[in-house]
Amino acid sequence: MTGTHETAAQLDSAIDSIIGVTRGPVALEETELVATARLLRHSLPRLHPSFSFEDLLAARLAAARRMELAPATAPALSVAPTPIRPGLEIGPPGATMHDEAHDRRRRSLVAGGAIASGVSLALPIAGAAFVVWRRTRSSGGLL
Amino acid sequence: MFWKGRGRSESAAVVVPFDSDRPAVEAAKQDPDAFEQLYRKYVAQIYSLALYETRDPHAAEDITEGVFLKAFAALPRFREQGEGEESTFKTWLYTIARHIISNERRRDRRHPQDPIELALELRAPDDPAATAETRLETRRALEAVMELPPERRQAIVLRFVNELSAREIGEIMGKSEGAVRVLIHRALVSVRQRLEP
Repeated sequence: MTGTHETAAQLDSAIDSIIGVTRGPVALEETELVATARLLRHSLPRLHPSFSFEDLLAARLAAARRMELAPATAPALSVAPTPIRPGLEIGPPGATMHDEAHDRRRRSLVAGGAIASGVSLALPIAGAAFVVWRRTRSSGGLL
Repeated sequence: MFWKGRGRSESAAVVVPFDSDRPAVEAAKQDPDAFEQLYRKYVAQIYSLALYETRDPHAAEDITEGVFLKAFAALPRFREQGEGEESTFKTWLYTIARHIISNERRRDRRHPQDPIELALELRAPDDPAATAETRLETRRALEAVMELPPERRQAIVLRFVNELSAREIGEIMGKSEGAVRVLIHRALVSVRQRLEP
């Protein structure tokens, strides 16, 4: 084992201890790199997706099971580039990943935009209608 | 740890580390509904890797979805391997994730969030009492990791966030255990240098 490999192996043991996979206490020489490893342990938390996403994907997997996406007939695992979006076909024709709430946040934005656009369109229309109604009423009253 | 003899002869048994997911994997092969157990166990790990790699929550969700749908579809053909090609369900899943992340990065160059923004997002919600100094230190450490070359960064994330061993990372990245240790050592040296005032 070369010096570099030996140093790297010692550091690896220290990391094991820092991330807590080593059973029992381990005496660590507090070198600069060990301190850096401790800092990274603290600074790089594991992140959870939103519960809504987690449940949504669980439902999608359940749907795949219901659709009898028979694992035996599923496409072979390949290390070749695989399209994720849009339209990663999984299951029967027409069942794509790019439906429903797959991109719900983006869709929400789109929906929000549509609502905003709708409101911006609806207000002048409503205003115009009100003016027409008032004029009609006023005209009717005068006539 | 359970060791299983798989030798060509009894005197030269090859040992294969017991995959703690084996019962769940076998159950999922028999009953697809049982796949949810594996999904719930690993969803945060895969999402974390994807988020650190893409720095884009939308892309991370897409990748996570792709990984589990692919794994679900390919599960019947998954085989634990030994004799120099050790593969557990976990490393197999991460290998799928790594390929999809790599492919995603090539295909769809969305603008990643700024590392500082990511750092703030990471720490702010669950760490309101963190001192300004701690936040700054965290932010700088994150920046340093994000600026690492991709291979070093991925090794660091797999080691510190996903708590994989050097051997497991080697399986995923197609490297020897020793090479991964050296990779991580060099990555930490780089981070240390970037953190120095």
